[in-house]
Amino acid sequence: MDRKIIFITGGVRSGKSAFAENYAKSLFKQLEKRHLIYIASGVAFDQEMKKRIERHQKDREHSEVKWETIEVINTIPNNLTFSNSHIILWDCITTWLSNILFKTEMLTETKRFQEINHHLAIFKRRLLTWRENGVIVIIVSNEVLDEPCGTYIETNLYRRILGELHQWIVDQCDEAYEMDYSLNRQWK
Amino acid sequence: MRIVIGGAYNGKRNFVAKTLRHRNQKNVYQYEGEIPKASFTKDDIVIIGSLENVIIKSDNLDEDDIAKQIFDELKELDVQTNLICICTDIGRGIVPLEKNERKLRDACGRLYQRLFSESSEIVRVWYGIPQYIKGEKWDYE
Repeated sequence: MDRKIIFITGGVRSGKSAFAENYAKSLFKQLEKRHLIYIASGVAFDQEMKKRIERHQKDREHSEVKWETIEVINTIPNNLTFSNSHIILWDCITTWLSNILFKTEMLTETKRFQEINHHLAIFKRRLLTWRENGVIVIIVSNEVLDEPCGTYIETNLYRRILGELHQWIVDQCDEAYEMDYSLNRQWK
Repeated sequence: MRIVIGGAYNGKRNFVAKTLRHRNQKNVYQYEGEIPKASFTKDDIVIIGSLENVIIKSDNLDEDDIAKQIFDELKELDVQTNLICICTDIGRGIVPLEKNERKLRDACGRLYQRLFSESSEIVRVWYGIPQYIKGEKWDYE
C-alpha cells in the first residue's frame, strides 16, 4: 500500500510550498485518492500574515484539483482521523510549533516543558497512526538552523525543539527533501 | 583531520558517536569550545565541538588572525592524534546587526575554509543523514 510520510524543508521562499503542493496533487491523481487535505496552521495576526495566508489560499483555489482545508492552530483534534483515501499536506509545522510555544508561554517552566512535550508526543503519534492507516502525509518545514545561535532564550528553545523534531521526522519518514531555491535534494 | 558540519541541532554529535561505536573505538575524548592542552597518541580520537566558542575567546585579533591561530593549534593537535572537528554551520542566515556577531560569523567562515582544505574527510549531516563531501564514507550502521 502507498502509505508514506514525506518530509520537505527549505529556506523562506525557496519554493517548498509549490513543490509540496505539486507533489501532493500528482500523487492524488496518480493513486486515484478521494480527498486532498490541506492542514493550515497560520494565524492571521496582522495584515502581512493575512496576505500570506490569502496568497496560499488563492494558489490552492486556482488549482484544478479540489483541496479540503482543515485548520490546526495548536491542539490536534481527537477526531482528526484519515484513511487510505486521503493525502494530507501540512504546511508548515514551524508555524504550528510557534503556536504551541505561544500558547504555553504563560506557564511556569516545568509545566511549559511538560505541555510542549505532550503536544509533540501527540503530533508524533498522530503522524505514525495516519501512516499506519494508509495515509500519505506530506510535512513541510523551514530551515532555520543555519545561522548563529541568537541571544534570545526563546529563539534558541524554538531552534532546539524544531531541530530535534526534524531529526525525528527524518528518521521516521519514507522520503526527505531539502529545497534550495526550486532545486531539490532528496536526502532519503 | 576529519570534519562533521551541519546546522545547529542536526544530530552531528550523535552521528559521530554512532560511527565510533560501530568501529568499537576506544579512547575517545570529547571537548566543547576548547582546544585541549593534554597530550594524546595516535590510538586516541579527539573530538572538538562548538569551535565558535573557541573563536569568541580570542576576539582581540582580526578574523584572519583568529582563524589562522586556531587552525594552527588544531593542526598541531592532529599531528599527535586523530582529530574530529564538529562545525556548526552559521553562515547561511541573515547578516547579523551586531558587529561582534558579524565578526564571529566571518572568523568562523575563514576557519572552516582552512579546516576544509586540510581535512581528509568531510561529512555534512542533515538531521542525522550524512552527505560525504570529501573522502571515504563513514560506516555507522
